[in-house]
Amino acid sequence: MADADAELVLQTQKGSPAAFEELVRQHQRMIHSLTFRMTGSLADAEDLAQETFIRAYAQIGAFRGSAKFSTWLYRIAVNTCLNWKQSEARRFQLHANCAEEISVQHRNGENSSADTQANQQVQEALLKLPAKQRAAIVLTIYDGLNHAEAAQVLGCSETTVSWRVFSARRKLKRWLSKNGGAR
Amino acid sequence: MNNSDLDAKLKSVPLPDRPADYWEHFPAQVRWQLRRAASPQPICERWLPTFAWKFGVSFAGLVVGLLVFSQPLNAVSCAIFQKEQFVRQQLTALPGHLRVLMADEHGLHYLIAEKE
Repeated sequence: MADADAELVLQTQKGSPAAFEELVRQHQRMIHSLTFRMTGSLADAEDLAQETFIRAYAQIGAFRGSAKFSTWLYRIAVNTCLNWKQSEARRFQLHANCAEEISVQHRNGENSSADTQANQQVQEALLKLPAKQRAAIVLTIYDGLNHAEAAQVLGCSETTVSWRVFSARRKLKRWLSKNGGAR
Repeated sequence: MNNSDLDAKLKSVPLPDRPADYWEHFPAQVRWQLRRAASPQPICERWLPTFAWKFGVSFAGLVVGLLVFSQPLNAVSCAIFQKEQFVRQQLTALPGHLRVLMADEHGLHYLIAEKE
């Protein structure tokens, strides 16, 4: 655990809300990034990020520092996302929302419409993956965790992570190639 | 498409950005949620479950009490009805003198007054 995190965790465990607020400040972007990649929705990502920090605060008394605080927090965030239920109708709606959110981002002329379309295809392909495979991809590719670290976060073996990553890659390659996503 | 092409493609998708004040306010928002979760619920939300529990427990107590206390009464009633003929004879033989009829494990007992 980073020294700064360790001190803040200790202060939080002693009952300092200000210390926890600082921990939230330091890890908020990382958690929002994870929850957005997992849900494809800004609103749901925000709700899940809040839920993650609320759960973390409730459980922080049990944190003993055997793992990095960020790994522990990742684990809570991933579990929160995996428990996030979405009906088929909502999933369909999310694809549309996600496409809209990304296109709004790039309406300023930073990206061409071809780029925007490619981004939408990638995000939609990610959302089509089973949640556990999506989590494995988000942790290993976007957040740069190795398979051992991802296994720790996901609470499974390295072999399981490797299999999920392999299976997810195979699907993503098929979908993105078929969609003509190669630029 | 090989793995590095796929990784590059996945990483090329940027996250939608949020305004700076969002990041500024988010920690305080979490803190507010925590405070709200920790604060006691309003009385109107608390009274109903409490009342339901108390009512349920009282009702169960009443039913159990009735079952327990009605057993001796039933036993006495049965004993008296079984010896109805004997009781009638006593009432005829001692009109106005029979005061109390009582049954226990030893049988039926009655109290006779000297005067009517």
